[in-house]
Amino acid sequence: MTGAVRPDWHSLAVAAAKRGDHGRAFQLLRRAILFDPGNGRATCDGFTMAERTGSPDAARLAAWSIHTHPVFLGGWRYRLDHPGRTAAREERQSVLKRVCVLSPGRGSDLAAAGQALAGLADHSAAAKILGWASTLLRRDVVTLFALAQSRFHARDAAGGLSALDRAKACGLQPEQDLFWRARLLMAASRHADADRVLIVAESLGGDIAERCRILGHTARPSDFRAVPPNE
Amino acid sequence: MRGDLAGRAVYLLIEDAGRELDSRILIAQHLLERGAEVWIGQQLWFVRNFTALRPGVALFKGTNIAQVANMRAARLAGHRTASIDEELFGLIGTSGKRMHDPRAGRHCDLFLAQGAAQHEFLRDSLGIPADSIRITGNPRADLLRAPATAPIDRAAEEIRGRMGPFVLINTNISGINPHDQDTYNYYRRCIALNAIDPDNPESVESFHQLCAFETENLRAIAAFIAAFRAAAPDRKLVIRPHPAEDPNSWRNAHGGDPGIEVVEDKRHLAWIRAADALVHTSCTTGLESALLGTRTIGLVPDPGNPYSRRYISNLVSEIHQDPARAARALADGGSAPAPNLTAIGNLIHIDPDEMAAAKTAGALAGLSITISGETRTGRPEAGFRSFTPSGRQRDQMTVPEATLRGRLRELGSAIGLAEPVNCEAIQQDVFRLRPDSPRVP
Repeated sequence: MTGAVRPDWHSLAVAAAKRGDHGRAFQLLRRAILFDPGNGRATCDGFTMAERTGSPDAARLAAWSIHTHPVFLGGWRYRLDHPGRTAAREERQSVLKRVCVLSPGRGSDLAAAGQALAGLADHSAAAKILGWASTLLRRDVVTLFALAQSRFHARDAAGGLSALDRAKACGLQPEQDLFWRARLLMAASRHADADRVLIVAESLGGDIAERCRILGHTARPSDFRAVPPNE
Repeated sequence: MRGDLAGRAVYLLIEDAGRELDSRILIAQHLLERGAEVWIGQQLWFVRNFTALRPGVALFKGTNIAQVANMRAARLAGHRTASIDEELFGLIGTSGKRMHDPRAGRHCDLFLAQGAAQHEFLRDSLGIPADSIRITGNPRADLLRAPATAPIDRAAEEIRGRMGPFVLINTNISGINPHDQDTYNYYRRCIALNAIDPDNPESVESFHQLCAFETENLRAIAAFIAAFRAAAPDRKLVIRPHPAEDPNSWRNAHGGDPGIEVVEDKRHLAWIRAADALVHTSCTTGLESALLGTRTIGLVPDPGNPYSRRYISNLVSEIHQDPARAARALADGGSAPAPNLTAIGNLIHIDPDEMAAAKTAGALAGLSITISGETRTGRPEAGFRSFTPSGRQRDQMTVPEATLRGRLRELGSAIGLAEPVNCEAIQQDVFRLRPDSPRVP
């Protein structure tokens, strides 16, 4: 005896959406995901349909599909792997953040998402997520170094220095440490310390010296004031 | 020409409202007068929605790598493209080829040149066919001449009433005092915009020269402030940092001095107009100040640096190498020497009989009529994709509807084109303007 063939809910949902029947598409997508949580395309398409149509049904679909439940993790991962040529920056940000919420126990997911968010210049979110990742991957130099950089961009210089210290203890290359230490010290208004680090880094020569020379052009607070002339 | 653009659409893309909004409004007024429908607003919204907009003419703010990529998107969606180089307005040179994507000739249908020198550069250095270039001048110069100065005068009056007399210092050291923390970030941004080639030692050396130039300028400004405060302790100084700078550096240094105020108000022309004098360090605002008739003092501490010879403002300002002498000259009073505008005729075309905005509208109209009527009406203009600006983009381009309506009314009234306009907000910072009543050719 053979079981009944399960309908391809996802294809039916796509067809319904194409007809403009978003209410039906909503029901079918819901079934597609619940019966086959591994089918990432269903969540992915649900999100797309929800975003690109303005009907009340689509709004319901959006409200449902953005719910951060583990059943959608496959969909969000699929979305990350297939961002599409037109995927907007904010859409990618939103997907990355959802993956993080859905995968709190997986340091590699968090680290990858955090670095991707840093690449999208969402530094506050990146710093937060890389912070979570670093608690799971305590000795992962790549994650700790990325965390130090994100905190710098998110204007948390003290936090960045602390992450950089941890990265250094885990074997971060001295050149990388010196350049970023100088940046973070400057950002923390510790200019004298930063200048000392810059001198050491420039003495190493090569690419790091050139980068430090560029960084060294940054104006210091004392440059903005001059002593009144004696007349 | 009244009504000859009826049914046609022109898209005016804005990157930085402080720099471009008013000049785009002047262009819009002339296009509306001719019956066109004008869309104006956040450039990145248009980039996301070119396929949903009916084919028209899109005006971009330059031809760097990012702008040309956007032009390509517009062309693929059936639009015609034009550019006016807003980075060039105050420059003697032409920013070199690096600020111009080599694909510009392929994706830009019409280049609007601000003067004969730019026309020559586009033709001879970038290989743009002469019939794709029009010398229109820059509508930003219109805003500095009567009759368009009336709104600036009103705003200046309000500022002066509030502040009393003051000397304005406009700083422009965004390379060494950037809004995003340090010079290395600025360097990365320059690379992203193709302004620097990190693999070319000459290009990198030029960046170092720029930083050295800014460092000397910062020293000169600091020395000027100290000297002027000593020479004229009762006179007020207002420091207005460039919008791409970190204003807190100035606040931290001078916040405790009651004779110094740091302002971030974006109405830079009104502040110049309201000031007794403007002090600058090779800044475009020096050119604007001279055209507005405000006394303009340029500090050029290092005349040998190539960057000191790049800016038109230094051709029309009262130049001082020694900041202390500049401070004394200003403290002693004196009137503004008339700017030497003949020295810049080749760089900025100023036609006493026709505004650059009118010439620009005319050039865009010429491009618009190459779009067939069938194509023009073939797209629904619906289902627009939203655009959420980043913090920086919001800082650069936020225009409330009331502000746009006010500027349309004020500038329209000043230049005698104040007929009612139907203004519709499409999304935040994006507007569709239509003549209130149909224009008949």
